[in-house]
Amino acid sequence: MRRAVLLSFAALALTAPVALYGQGPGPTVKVPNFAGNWVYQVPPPVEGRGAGPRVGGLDGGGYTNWGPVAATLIITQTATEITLDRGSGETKWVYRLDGTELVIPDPSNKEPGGPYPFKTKTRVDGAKLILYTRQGLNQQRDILTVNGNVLNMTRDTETPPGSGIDIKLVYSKAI
Amino acid sequence: MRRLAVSSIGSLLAVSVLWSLNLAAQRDDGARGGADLSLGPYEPVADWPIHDWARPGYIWGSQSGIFPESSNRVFLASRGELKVPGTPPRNFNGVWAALGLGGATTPLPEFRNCIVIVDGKGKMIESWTQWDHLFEGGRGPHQIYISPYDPERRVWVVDDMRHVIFIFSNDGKMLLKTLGELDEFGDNDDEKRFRRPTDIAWLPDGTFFVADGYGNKRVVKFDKEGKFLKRALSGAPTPFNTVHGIAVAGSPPRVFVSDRSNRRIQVFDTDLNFIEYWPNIAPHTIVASADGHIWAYDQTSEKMAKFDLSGHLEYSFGTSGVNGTGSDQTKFWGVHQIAADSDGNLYVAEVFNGRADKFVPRPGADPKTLVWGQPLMPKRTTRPGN
Repeated sequence: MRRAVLLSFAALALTAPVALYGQGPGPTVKVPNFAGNWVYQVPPPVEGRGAGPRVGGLDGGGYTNWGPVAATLIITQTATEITLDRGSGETKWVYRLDGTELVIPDPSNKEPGGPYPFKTKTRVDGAKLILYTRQGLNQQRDILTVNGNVLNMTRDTETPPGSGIDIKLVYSKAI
Repeated sequence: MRRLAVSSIGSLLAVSVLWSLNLAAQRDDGARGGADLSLGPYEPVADWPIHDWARPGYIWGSQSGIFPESSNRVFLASRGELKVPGTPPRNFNGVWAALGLGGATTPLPEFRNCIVIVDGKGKMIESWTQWDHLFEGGRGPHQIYISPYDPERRVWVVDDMRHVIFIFSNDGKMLLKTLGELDEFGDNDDEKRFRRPTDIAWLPDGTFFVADGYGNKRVVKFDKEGKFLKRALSGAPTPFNTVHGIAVAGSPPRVFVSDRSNRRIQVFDTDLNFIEYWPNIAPHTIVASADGHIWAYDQTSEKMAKFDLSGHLEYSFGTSGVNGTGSDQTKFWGVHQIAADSDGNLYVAEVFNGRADKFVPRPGADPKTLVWGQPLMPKRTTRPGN
């Protein structure tokens, strides 16, 4: 009898965390691991037709709605959140991996009528993690995939007049 | 195929020539008659609507949509209210553009009274303030519609910056459905997400088409329940660039699509097979008139233009400029949605001037020069015991 009670407690102890995890706000789909320190890879120069002075930040990487592409991107990731630290004291972009919106105050925002917070959302599509970032009327979508030590980002922006940049960024993991 | 090509070239030439001739004729008419013909067959209804609902110190902002369910129940879609900066000029008429600070779209508004309903005299009868929060984080409604074939007369509001279309019950008590995913945008092949949608048009069976949009470069067809059916990319030599309006007209029906930044209208059949395109028109808005014509408001010339269904320009009117005093509604700036009721009244929402207008036909106006609203299906009423 005593042994049976002990076994029951043991079973409960083993299953409770699983049950709690299932009921919480954690991710319902598997998210690839993007954690690491990532260094932007300047694209090779264009030869022949189309060659010429590069425009935009970071030698052709272009500017986003929030300044030039980050030279170094520090990504931390837990079971429930992913954080992008763009360096230079910029407000970190934090995203919930369960797809719900997160509002991040940004006192540094100087837009008229501001400061406007960042509003973030995520979506997982197979091996892709899709990050939506908004602030005021600036919007950005980053599609992230990771392949070993290479992080690929496809970045699109939207502002009221229309679509902005549509660029592909490549980062390598700092080892 | 050859016939289509010839048709397109014919339309191209006809539109270009007629457009020039028509503008010249208008100037001539104005000089001869001595009357202000900038509004063509219409005259404005002064001080309509009676705009007394803005918070003190604020005025209404960019007016993006307008739709008459009847001449006595007119929906206004507003991109919120704007704070009047400093001391406004003497005789300020409450129209943002009159402040000389640029178009009403520039400042970020406070999202109040985004959907308002006024009666025939312009008096507010409802404000759906319960839904103002939906527009926070975007830039407010893009346009507002009721399907002419819907006996429930549900109200469809497009929100381009939040990438969705809201469908409300006619009384505004319920948000029945949201098409698209809030704050998520997809690409041309995405069946669940829009990218800055702008406009909607219906077939009699409830099937509908969405102009998508500022970001995407496509037209999307849905069944009456909102299930994705198919999409069409541009049939013209270059991709769509700002798909900013859509209308269905003709028998058999055809789909007319504003390809605004390419300054053309593209025409498709209802299976979204490309038919032809009409050049030299950059519509902010495009509507089917009940007399079997297409009306478009041209961004470039700031004029209303009437076309037959083959793309021949038949008539146009309008003068670009900032609206002046309350009774001076003779100039347009950024007409974003036009609609008409079955009495021949014309309703106009201007995003840059920042006002909504009602125009009535001048006495003796030629009916051929008027926009005629498509009659709506009789409203279904709930009988006792049902």
